[in-house]
Amino acid sequence: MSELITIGENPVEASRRRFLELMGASIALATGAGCTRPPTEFVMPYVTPPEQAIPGVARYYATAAVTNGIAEGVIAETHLGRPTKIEGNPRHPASLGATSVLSQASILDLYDPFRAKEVTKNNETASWDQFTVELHAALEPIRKANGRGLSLLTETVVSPTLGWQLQRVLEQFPEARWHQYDPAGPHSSRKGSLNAFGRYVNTYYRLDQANVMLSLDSDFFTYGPASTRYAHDYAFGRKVRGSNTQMNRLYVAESTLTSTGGKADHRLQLKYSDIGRFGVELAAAIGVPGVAAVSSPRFERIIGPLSQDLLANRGRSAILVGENQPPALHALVHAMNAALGNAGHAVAYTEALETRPENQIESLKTLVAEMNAGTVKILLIINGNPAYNAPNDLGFSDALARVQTSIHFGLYHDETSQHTVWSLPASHFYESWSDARAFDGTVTILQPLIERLYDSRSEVELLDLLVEMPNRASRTIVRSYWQQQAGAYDFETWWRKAVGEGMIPASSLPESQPALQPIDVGSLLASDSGIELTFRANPYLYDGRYAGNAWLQELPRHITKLTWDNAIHVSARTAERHGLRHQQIARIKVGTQYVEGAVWLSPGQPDDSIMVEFGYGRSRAGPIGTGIGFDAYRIRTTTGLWHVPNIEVSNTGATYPLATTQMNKSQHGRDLVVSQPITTYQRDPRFAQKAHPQPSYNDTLYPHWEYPHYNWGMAIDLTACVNCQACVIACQAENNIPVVGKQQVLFNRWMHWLRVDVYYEGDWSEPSARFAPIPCMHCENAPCEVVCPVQATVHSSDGLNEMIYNRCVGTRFCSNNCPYKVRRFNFLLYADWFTDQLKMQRNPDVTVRSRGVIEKCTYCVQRIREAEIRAQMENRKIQANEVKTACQQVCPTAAIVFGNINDSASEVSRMKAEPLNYGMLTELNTRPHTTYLAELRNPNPAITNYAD
Amino acid sequence: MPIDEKERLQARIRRIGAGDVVLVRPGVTSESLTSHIAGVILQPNVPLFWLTMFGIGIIALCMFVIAVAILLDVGIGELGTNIPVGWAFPIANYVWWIEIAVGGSLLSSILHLTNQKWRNSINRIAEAVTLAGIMCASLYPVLHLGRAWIFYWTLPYPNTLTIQPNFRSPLIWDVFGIFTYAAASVLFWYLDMIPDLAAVRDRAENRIAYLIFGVLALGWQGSSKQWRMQEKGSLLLAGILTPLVFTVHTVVSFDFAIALVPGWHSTIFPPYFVDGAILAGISMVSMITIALRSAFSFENIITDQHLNNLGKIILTTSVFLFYIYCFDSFTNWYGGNPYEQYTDRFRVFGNYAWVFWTFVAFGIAAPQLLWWKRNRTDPRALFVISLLVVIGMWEERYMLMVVSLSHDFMPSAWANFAATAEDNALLYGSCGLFLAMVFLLVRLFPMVPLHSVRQLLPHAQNGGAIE
Amino acid sequence: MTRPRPYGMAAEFDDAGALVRAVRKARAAGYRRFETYSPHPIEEIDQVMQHWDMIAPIGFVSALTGGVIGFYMQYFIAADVYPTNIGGRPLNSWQAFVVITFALTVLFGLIAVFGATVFFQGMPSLYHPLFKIPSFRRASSNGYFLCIESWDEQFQPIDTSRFLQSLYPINVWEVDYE
Repeated sequence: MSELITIGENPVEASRRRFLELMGASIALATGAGCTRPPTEFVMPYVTPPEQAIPGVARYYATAAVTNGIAEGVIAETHLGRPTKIEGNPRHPASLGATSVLSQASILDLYDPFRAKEVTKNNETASWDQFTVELHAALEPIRKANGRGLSLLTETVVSPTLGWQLQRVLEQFPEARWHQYDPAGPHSSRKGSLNAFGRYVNTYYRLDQANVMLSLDSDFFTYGPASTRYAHDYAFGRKVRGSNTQMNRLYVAESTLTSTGGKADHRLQLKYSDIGRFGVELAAAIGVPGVAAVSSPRFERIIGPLSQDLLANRGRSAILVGENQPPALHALVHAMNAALGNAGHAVAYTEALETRPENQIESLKTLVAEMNAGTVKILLIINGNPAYNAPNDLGFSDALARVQTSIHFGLYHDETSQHTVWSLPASHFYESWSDARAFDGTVTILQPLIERLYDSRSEVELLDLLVEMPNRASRTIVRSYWQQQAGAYDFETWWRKAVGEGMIPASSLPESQPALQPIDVGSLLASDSGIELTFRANPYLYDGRYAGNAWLQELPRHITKLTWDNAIHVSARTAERHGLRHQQIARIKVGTQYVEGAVWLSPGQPDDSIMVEFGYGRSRAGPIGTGIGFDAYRIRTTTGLWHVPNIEVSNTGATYPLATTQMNKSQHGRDLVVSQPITTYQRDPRFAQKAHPQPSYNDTLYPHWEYPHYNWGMAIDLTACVNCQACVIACQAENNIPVVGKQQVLFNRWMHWLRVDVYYEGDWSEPSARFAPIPCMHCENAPCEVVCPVQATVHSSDGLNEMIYNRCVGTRFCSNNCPYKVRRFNFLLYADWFTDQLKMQRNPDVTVRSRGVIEKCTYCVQRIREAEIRAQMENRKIQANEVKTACQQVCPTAAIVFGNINDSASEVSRMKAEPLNYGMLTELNTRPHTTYLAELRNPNPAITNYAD
Repeated sequence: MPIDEKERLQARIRRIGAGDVVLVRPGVTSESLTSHIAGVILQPNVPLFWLTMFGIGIIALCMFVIAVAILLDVGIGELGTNIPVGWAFPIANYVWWIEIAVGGSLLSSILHLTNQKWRNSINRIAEAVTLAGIMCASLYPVLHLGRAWIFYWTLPYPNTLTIQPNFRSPLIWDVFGIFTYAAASVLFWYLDMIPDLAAVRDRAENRIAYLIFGVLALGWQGSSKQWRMQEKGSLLLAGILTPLVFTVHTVVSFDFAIALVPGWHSTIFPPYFVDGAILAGISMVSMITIALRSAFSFENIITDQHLNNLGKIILTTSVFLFYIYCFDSFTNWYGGNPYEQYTDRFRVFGNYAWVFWTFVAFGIAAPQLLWWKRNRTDPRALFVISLLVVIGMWEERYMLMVVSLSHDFMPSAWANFAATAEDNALLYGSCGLFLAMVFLLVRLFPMVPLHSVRQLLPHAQNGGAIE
Repeated sequence: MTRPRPYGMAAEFDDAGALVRAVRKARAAGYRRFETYSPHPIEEIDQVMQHWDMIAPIGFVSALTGGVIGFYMQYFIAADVYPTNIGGRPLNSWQAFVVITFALTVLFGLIAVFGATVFFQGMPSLYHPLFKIPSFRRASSNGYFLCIESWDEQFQPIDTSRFLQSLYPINVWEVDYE
């Protein structure tokens, strides 16, 4: 191991050759001179021994992607020291080999060229040395005052090391204050658990143990640290194969149409303020002690069968509640789960994940009061962007001006750092050592995948600055903490195993059965008659922190398929009543504050209920995120965190185009996405094939081609697909797919090779939804190939519809002739050929396409060829399930299955043998190699209003 | 040949259809005709009308050149095309210009073969329309490419990649079809013009003009042998061109009919396209003929009878087009294909209904005015109707692209098309190219086939009848 | 110094009828090697003059060749030199090859017809002895010429000139080569 020189300030210097030198496994992560430079570090390999790094062969390292402080275990694919792709860690409970959208997209954040690159003081370039010196000078009087005047503001702290460090800080500065604030965090569930149990507990679900699920406004497929796991458990409870017709059942009552509601067997569309009442009536029906029987005719038809269904599945059911719902409902749901005997089965309770659970809103209020009082001398804001996302009534930015030494530490120079004296660049979690807990408490030690791109520090290093004078490298800090904790006689082995596997074995928090306290449901029974406003965190930009991530900006929102904007979601009836028009700017007034945004008529939105998403309207989020959409935080207050009753809304008359990737959400009776109740399947398992018959080979005069060796194909289980869109972003990361920007999306020129179609079914004012991922079908009789004049798209001998970019002259005839419209065209030079950081993210196995060529899903041909080479070197055939496409690998529900159709042992050939298997538009005799398993739903026979 | 029989024949030649309208007005002599036509070419001063039209053409052409430069520099993202509407303006323009070209070929081939003498005086104008039309048309398949600079990859030629075009693709058929058609049109135009070039040569006072036309005339003397070969050659070329008139647009129609897009995938497309082509082409020929006739005072050789005949062709083809639309809708209804049926409904009532109804008003309804002879022989009326037809036929091509592509099989992929400034610049710019080309061709080359018209003159005919 | 043998003896007439009469008389007088020049084709003269050509056969053979080349090129490329599975269609998709076969048939045919026509017209030949005649320019608008060529067996400068004069032409010229 040799001492290597640190990569300079200029990221351009970080050439590929440099990374080749730098990485490998027993890599020395660099250090140089200077008192604040961290010393040499090591990176642990995951599976393969590090000795011989072969250029061109990817290496894999286990770590975790951290969202809101909570980990999802991942494995990072690196090429010559550059992490290029994130995969799930199959051993990790939150991942099981899949990942969420945010984890997939985190790789782009790492390489974001607009990250903070340097220390600034009063918005002018400074250095870490200068900061350290001035910080210690400023700390000197505070240390003497026992720490009075020092305040820390962090996001929710879950990381054990970070928590330990914070405790150390508080030990050294006993009078110092530590506050936490997370705009979209689980405020309600914290308070709800406090109400229900008298203390903070962590709740999670084991949906694989639930036959019946009820979600009260919880979009658990999309939000939360366990969404990937929940989707997995949900889907595996309803995979109908052959004669096994067991399916779980999902009821959803929700205040806007979500993926979860779209998948529900019964969806109840309620105003936010009615969901509490619905909960109370249900609680009364299932006999929760202390809840008086109330009933209203509105829910009569569903409460009866639903409560019977839940009671019939005592201990085998689960009731979930959304973070945006009030604490009282959370408490009530705890009581309902207890009454149903679900606790300890499908519902699990542990100690709180957070180092110090607290009421963060109160905590922030206190901080602002102290700032205004002038008692805060040093304010250290570690991550988070309160100047942008704190509730508007607090006036955080103004208070910030009263702090003498304000310091912001984060990935970006953002709205907050604009107001602080110091702005410090943070390392991305793929650049430094850290640790984090998963939803059930399982700890992952995060290892760096790459030498820091800029002169940044990690959180643990920053806190170390406060405590230890000779600051240490992040690895040393994390290691020293775990050395205390593990207490293992052979710590080195323990450490290598923990880091290598991506998780500390058996580190999940122990389950407990907290005792229930009497709950008060009175506040839930109030309902309001005016127009209500509900807030949600954007599923991709979250609280706005990912606004600079172009992949996430362009990833279509689950149901609306909107990109690059948030919108004011209203139902058609409400819009008509208040003169609002689709894609016209409306004004929402809350108190004295108002915002203006474009209206989107959303089927599935309850009447008199307006939904807006946070995360937009950033004023300092780099060229990607700045000025996109409107800032909903401006009308969010501490009393109306998620819901504001009786607001005013009016049309301004100005039009504003919103960019969507799917204009039409009606199937027009074409029934491409087949969905039937399970009873249909029991009557006639082959109903989908009968609706979409495959013409026989004899129906044409042409002889047909044989694919004797490999014949690649894909099967997609529509029952399992929950429209999480992780596949879309995984495909984008794997295949170097460019983003095109809002203007080009408006022109309908987005580039995703894989899209998830959404169709509304039933009454559009209260719809159900159908989801279908659409990759290239790799038709055997491909219509695109025949019309290409230059043989730029041809068929391979293993059944792939191949696209040769270099040969393409760009007639677009193939796209015209593709009935599935899966081909995308580079109308302009969409790929960024010039930004060095983005070049490092690219998958070296996939061409970066130029202007003027068609591209499309290749079934990840680079992975097939890689497996082929590997098999050839080992003198064997490719194994049955050896090759996984990027979309398949990331899919939490294993809805996408890929493999060799000719191999009867492969999962895909088993799927294609299922009676549910059908092909889209088979009547055109395209013979698609991507086929679908028709969606099955499991409606309660006792409820008659099932949409189909 | 007995005299009375010959006279009867001559009388028939001079009077087509209505007996009272002649193809060449009395008083025209071979000498006056030659002076008139050659004069247009050889005189240094040009009429204001010509200058105006040519000037407009050149200005629009400049816009076209700038638009093409931007297109090649920035990429075809400058156009409004998207996914699913991969083809829009450029291909609509391409088909439209080919249609316009076909009109001229009809006059020079089929009417030549069937010995329709009335075509003689307007034949050259029609061919100028053909050549300019082909020139405009052939630009678009190249310009609309994502990578226009490698358009030659569509040609089979030995190359180090050892990769060749795909002959199953209708686009390759187009390449060959259009090239053959362009070659046929140029050769026919030129062969037919050699004697006239000689006539201009023989009238040239200017040494340079004499040399240029001398070379172009290839040394034509007008010997009986040359005339004999000339007649035989042009008859054979006309015979070869005749199937081309039908096939060139049939091949163009295959670009659509071979594809499985609803609204395209139909066996009626070849006759439908050919008919549309004749309609649009003859309309354009009428417009140019009427314009030139009044500008250069050709009323004595391009008479109302010519306009009458052109009007009849326009009327016939528009009626036939109407029939085809009815028939196509019937087939889609009777065939029960839901995708085709949807496209039919969408065409008539959907987002682009205004395009359809414009086409119906301009391309089918307007020509019905030509049932009245008054409109057929009135140059102004015929001009306006022809203009409407030409516009209507462009709308129809646009409708064909956009309606079918924007709403095909997958409802999730449906999206609308909106034209950009670049689209419009390329369309109107190519009209400039066309205008400039036509007016340049009639200025530089004899715009009336002198030798053909001479045969219509009385004194030329009485050669054998003296005895 | 002997005068070089002239190209022929030409007479100019002012209408087609006169030319036709002159041709008939020349033929009756036993002349065989003569040629007429007129601004438009004259049917009666064609009946008298016998011109031989092979335009049609050449065009036909060439067209046939074009068709064979056209089909073979496609077959060779699609099925032999670069065989590829395109859309599951057979290598020899002859149905799809018909269009280009037809196009090349026509293309070869028309180029051959054009070439043969110009060839049998004796063109291009930018010079012709008759161009020396000052009024020959009228041959392309309203002049009608008869030229008895010097290699006619009966050609005698004086006799022939006299014979031509007897046809009441506008003028008679002796045409030299140079």
